[in-house]
Amino acid sequence: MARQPAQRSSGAGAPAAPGVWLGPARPGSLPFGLAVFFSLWLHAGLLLALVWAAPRGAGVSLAAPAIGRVALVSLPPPPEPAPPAAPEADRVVLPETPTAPPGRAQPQPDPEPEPEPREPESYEDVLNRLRAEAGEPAPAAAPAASRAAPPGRLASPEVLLWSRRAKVHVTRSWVLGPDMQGRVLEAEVAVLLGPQGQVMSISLRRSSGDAWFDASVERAIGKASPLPPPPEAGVWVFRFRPKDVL
Amino acid sequence: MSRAARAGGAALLWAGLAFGAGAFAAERPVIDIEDARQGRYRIAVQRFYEHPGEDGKTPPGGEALHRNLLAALEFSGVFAPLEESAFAAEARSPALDDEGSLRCNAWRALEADAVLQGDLQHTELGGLRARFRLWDVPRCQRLIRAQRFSGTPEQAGRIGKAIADQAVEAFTGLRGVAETEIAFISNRSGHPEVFIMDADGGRQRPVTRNGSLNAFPSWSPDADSLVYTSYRYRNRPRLFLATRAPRPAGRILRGLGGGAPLYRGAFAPAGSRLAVVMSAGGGTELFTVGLSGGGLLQITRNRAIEVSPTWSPDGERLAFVSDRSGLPQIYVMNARGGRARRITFDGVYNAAPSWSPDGRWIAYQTRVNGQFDIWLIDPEGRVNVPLVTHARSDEHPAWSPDGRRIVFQSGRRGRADLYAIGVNGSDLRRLTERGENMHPAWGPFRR
Repeated sequence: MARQPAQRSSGAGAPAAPGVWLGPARPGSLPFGLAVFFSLWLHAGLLLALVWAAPRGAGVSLAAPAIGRVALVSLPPPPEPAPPAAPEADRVVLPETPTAPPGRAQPQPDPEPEPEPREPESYEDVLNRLRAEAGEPAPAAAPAASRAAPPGRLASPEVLLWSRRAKVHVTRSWVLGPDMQGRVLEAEVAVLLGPQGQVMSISLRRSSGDAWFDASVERAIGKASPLPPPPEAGVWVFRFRPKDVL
Repeated sequence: MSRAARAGGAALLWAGLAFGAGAFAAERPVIDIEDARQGRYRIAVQRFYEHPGEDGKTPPGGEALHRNLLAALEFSGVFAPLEESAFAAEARSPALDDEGSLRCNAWRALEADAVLQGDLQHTELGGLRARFRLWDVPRCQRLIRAQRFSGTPEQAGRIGKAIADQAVEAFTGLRGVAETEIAFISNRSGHPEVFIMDADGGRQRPVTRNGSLNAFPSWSPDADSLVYTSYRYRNRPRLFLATRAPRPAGRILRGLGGGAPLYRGAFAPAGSRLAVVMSAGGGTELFTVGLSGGGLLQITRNRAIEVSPTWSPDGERLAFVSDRSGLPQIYVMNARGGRARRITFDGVYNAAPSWSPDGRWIAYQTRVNGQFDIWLIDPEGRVNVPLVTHARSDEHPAWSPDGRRIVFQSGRRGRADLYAIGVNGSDLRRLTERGENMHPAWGPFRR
């Protein structure tokens, strides 16, 4: 009895056999017994897990910890209303809109701007998941994760793809004199993009402290217009910070 | 830009925000731009409008101005002039009598970043008056409304260069150097004489014709004078002054050190003093001294050879070469004396230091495999980076006054020529053609 499996494992092939459960099962042989033993244990374990998980709503709570952790780590501050509120003087408005006719650029007046309520809801979602993870009963009517993207979530592939293309496009337009290189400068601009990627206005959100650097940044954005059509018209933020060249 | 346009822009911005509150609103990443192109701004230079004089004639010099303006913009490293055929319909500038306007989108379609316009007028006594206007196309802004230059018709080319330098400043905050000059030594006439040329290599002309040995020119900070070393007097090294200012030229510091050899002089940034290299106590030492010989101050005092002084731009420190360690190395010390600090430790022969106008770097030559390359080191000696490397020697670096370039001598053609290169290693160009050309000194901005 003991010789047979030994022969098989060395004869029928070390390459094929290891770890494979599908070998010719011989009733009464030791591996078969082991298999039954493990199988039983697995089934029992599965059953136990199901019983344990059932009252907590299996599907949602299983996924929750991962999402909860991500959200906690990179929970951003409340949405920044800064760009539109930037002082008038900082803004460079291009007088002519290049491609899109004004009618199209004018969005449907949205009576109820949504971004405000969205954020707290997402936060609640995260809290609910944490409660669930900790074994607390979820408050009634906690919305599932199907609504708006929780903060800190990875942007959609569409947005990421466009961001990359926009980055290449703007980089191509940015000219920086050698005297600027090797200096630690950083500026941030909020750019209002039309649906076709046309730059409709530029607002300096954070100055580098160097007027000439800021000018080069605004020039780069102006020159890059039209950018590749964004996934969505509106304000997009670009941060300019040259690598240390020299 | 009108208030109405601004208000309209603001409204659009708000509308855009509302518009942007859709599916992607919560997940817009900040887009980081980290690589600037080592590029140039594309500039359309319109031919200057020529106001006819009372006799109906157009003012002279327009062609020379245009040609020099284009060349200087190209030389700046900041601009690339567009081919005129690209904007043939608008090749001629309007007169600059009014505020002017620009069809930014039309120019943007030509990928122009800048448009330069101007006009020319006769003045009384046969002079020339030029005005120019500069537009920033991507931002659709007028950067310069009408800046005025005047001179003789023969100075039209120089006016073109001055305009280019101003345009560079309007775009970068740092004036261009087309109007500056480079002094150097050339043996093209048979002896090593002092020459000067325009920064782009144009108008090369001799300063000395003494038939002796001349070396190491150094500019006064007002760009009007040069001090240089010459063996023209009793065949011993002395310092001389060449000047276009009303100040006495010829041999200077005559009685200094009891007639000891003077090997080199370098104007301090303030212009009132010179750093000089003079024989003393069996070696050569550094001194500072007033132009008239007063206030002599010995800076170094040992038996080693100390040469090649270069001032920090604030005039507080000097960098120089000393062999006190047994090998020529570069040291930095207070210009009033004190302890010198060695900053180069790599290589067995480091020489010819030149302090950058912004004070952050010292360019110098270092021997590698039996020839010299040009490196940059910071005055504390912490960062040391190569700038010019070539199988043949590159020597005697000197900074342009805007700090964007370095001029140096190189034997890469088999004999010594002068070359300029951007400090980022780009845009190498040869400036000299004939003879051996050495010891370049890039002059300061002219006031």
